[in-house]
Amino acid sequence: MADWSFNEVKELPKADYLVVGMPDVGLVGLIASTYLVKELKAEMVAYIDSPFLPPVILYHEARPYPVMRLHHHAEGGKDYLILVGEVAVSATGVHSLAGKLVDWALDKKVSRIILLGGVPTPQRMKLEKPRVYGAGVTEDDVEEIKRAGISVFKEGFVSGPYALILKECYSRSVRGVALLAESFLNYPDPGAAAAVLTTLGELIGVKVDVKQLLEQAEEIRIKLRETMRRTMEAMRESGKAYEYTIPAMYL
Amino acid sequence: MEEWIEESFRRFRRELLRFMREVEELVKPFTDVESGEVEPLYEVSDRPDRLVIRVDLPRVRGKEDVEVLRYGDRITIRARMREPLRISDIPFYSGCDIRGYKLEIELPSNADVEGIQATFRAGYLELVIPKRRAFRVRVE
Repeated sequence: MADWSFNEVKELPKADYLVVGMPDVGLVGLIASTYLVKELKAEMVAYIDSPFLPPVILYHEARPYPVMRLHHHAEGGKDYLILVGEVAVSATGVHSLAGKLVDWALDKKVSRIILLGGVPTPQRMKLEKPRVYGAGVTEDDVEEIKRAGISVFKEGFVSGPYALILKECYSRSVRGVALLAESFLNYPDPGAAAAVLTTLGELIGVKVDVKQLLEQAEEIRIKLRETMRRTMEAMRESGKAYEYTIPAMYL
Repeated sequence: MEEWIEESFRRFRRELLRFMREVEELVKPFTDVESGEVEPLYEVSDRPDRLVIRVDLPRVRGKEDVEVLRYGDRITIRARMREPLRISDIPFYSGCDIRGYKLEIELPSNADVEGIQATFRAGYLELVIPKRRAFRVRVE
């Protein structure tokens, strides 16, 4: 078995956008992508498998689901693929995943990759509405972030799986944006996920009502405790501490 | 028996016990289905003059629902939810209502346990534990 295999269960049209939500800081990406798929009723069209993933399969409403899935949604003449990663990928596996994911996206003619996530801030408890930053890969991405009225991520390190995906995009001049909401580091943060989804709507036009997500926030925080704890173990290896580090380039 | 062989056995036993504890820790769920209490997520920040412990307690409404007890250098935090949470579709949790939280933390020897302050706000409990200053021993 190759490192990472992409298995299509439905015939896939070419897609315009690939939206990625993986477990990381505050589980923002996982909460946001899960809610997005649920609200849009986006159908599963493919899944990703690898020996780097834990030996698990999950069941929902009596049906089995792989833990790394791709869902499809069409709206306004555009096709969106949404990647939901239920489990954190270990630091050893995440390098090859980033490359394969971008390869696969290019094969599907994806023109933009949007990553949903969080950036940890110690002030999170005091923030009613977390700010969302957009980290762009190309000049066009940065321009688009500005046009959408989103704060541009100007300085600092991005680490973990999204850093590697951004790096792959950069080296191949693929357009990509990471939308990072101010969030808790190690508590599930549905409020940050709601902020990131609202910003996603402003950037690429996929709008979902986040009211229910905010109403369920406390329940989500309880239910995702175990996932948060396991994600923290993976984050410890992935250089997360860099996100508090001031880069020398900033001096 | 030769001393070095005994020492090797002792070291091997220590390593084995440590490994077993780590494995137990990894697979242990942090929900006690009997009591309906779950271990909350928490973080400890170690500052020069104090320790700050922040505990995530979603669904806990007010400070009257939170109890902080100290036994020697151990702190036990218990908090109750006014409405229990049922996750009955998942076999591990079937028949179990999550009613509250329980967390036990062992404090380091320099913690000034008399000076602990606790604040509960918007679902988060913050404990501030001052550190005792080191006592300088005069060298004769």
